[in-house]
Amino acid sequence: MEENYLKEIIDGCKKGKRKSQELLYHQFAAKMFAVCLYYAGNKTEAEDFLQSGFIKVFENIKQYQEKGIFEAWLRKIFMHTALTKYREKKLMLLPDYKETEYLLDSNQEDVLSKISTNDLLCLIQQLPPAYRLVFNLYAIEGYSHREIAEMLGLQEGTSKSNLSRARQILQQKLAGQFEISTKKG
Amino acid sequence: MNQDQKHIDNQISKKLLQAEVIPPASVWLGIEKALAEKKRKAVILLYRRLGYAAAFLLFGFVSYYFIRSNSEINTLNPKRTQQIVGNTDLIKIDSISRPELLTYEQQKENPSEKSKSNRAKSVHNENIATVATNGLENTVMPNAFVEQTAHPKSLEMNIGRTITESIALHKPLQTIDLTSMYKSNFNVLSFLRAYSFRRAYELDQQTDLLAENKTFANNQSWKLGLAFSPTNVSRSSGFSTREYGALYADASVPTETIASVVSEKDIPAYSGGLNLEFQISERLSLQSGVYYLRQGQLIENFSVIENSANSANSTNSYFGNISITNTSLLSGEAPLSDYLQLNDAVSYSRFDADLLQRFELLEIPLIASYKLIDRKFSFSLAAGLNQGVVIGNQVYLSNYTSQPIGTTEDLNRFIYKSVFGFSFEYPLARKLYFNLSPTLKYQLNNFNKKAIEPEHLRYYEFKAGVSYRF
Repeated sequence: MEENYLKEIIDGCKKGKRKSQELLYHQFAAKMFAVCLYYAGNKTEAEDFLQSGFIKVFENIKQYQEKGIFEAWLRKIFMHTALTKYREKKLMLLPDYKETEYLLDSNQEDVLSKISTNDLLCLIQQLPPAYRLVFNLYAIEGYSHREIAEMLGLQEGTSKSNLSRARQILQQKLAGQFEISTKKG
Repeated sequence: MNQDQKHIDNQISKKLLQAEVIPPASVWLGIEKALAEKKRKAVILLYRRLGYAAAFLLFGFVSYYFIRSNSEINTLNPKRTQQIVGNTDLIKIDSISRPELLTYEQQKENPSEKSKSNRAKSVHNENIATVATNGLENTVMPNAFVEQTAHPKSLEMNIGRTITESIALHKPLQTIDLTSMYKSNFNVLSFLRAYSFRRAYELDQQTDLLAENKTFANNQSWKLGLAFSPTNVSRSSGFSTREYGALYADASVPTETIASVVSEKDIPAYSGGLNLEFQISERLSLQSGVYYLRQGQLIENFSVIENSANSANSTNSYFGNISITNTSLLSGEAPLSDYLQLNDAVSYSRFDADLLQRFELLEIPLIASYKLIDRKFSFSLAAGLNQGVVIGNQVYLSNYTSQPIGTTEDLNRFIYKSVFGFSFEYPLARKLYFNLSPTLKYQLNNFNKKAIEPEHLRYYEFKAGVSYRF
């Protein structure tokens, strides 16, 4: 999208113009819905995240200083919206699993290249909420275990084990979907 | 963790960061609705706070007025009072009886004045005016101007002014009720001392009374009035098919059919009521009151969606969905011009008649008014808030207004407006004024609770009325 056009839309949103808000929504809804889908447990929950996220965006858009990339700022808001929703539901209390390594062979890399985005989203949605959150924050958003532990109010070890467990479940599901073998270490 | 895992993570991450999934249209509708609701609540909250603040200020002003009035009587400066009053002793009134004004020196000089019992009469004798009372000793008021009002038991008095000044001002300092004046010595003494003190203050300020017309008592007065106004209601946007669509979407009414029914016309509105004004200072005053407002619109060749599943008949309008409850009138008074069976349960009918949608409101304004020109013909700027309560909500067939056919649904009970305007005032008599106020009222919230877009109606009023100062 042209930078000036986006700036114009953002300025309109800062003034509370409904037309600009609608344009901004249509510009980023598809991308942010994907974000919501991999944080949510199902489509309905993702729609709820999307709606709450955009309301939060419109309410707080004046805080956007136009220094960084707007999409990254948006993504962060949606991520925090999801985290807040999970905190409200108190889904963070999970047992500490022992870390289990898993290995992927070359077949599984092929699987990842073949699997559609929708299927991948479905697989991630099937993870238990706490695993899904840790996996998303670590593997997609790039946070460290210490940062994740602080954000979610967990022990660093719990974050690590949740990630490990998430990977294990994903591996099993991928294997199940494409009937390939897995090795556990 | 090994490199393979990182590699897989990166692959997943790359795939998901580029992912795009189109959300259902209902999400944006939900966002729009939530934003409108938040805005509505914010506006209501803001005006509620402003209302509280205005009420608090009004209370403060009124309290200040009474406290100041009391303190002026009680806070005497004997030295300065003596200086102004001079060495004249204030004569105490020892006996208390029913006071009755008998004579004035001027009346003695000009007996013809006696016949004018209802007219104001003036007495001024250089620096001393004397009031003779039946059964009482004379009360000497130094340097005073005493005037009898139309009321037989009251006097108006200025101390330290000449007749010329007082006549020019048209505003005596105080009306004295003789009944209370003679109740006790204290009243008389306090009264005279207080006025002497006021005069001292005036002299201290080196105020030119004639030029600046600075009086104390008359700055703070009340006015009660009646006003009536024809009102023109204007909308920021027309009624679009989108709103109709919201109602008719489920019934699958063709878009061209929906578009053909969009025809609404505002009907003349009017308002009228009681107005109360409190003058805080020489130029600033607060106004409130109670007004009745009637407004509405005409929906031409209206259409009705009938849902036999829930026995509901409804149509839509700018102000919201209209529920038609008196269906017998439809067949009796409104000839059917078009009919469409949309599905097993739902049918669409169009009638060769018009609907009259009418609302009645009671409005309570709170307006601050500032006098820009303070002459005989005065000109003021006014701004404030207006809270309306919906007291009437009826829909009629326009050719049959004796019986309502239905009501508009989901109306907000309270309607808030901001008010801006001018006010012209002209004295008809001594305390009677004619007022003319062209005013713009800007509606802050929607009539309909479920409206998505804010619709700010504008009301152009041309208020005319009379008010009485007391």
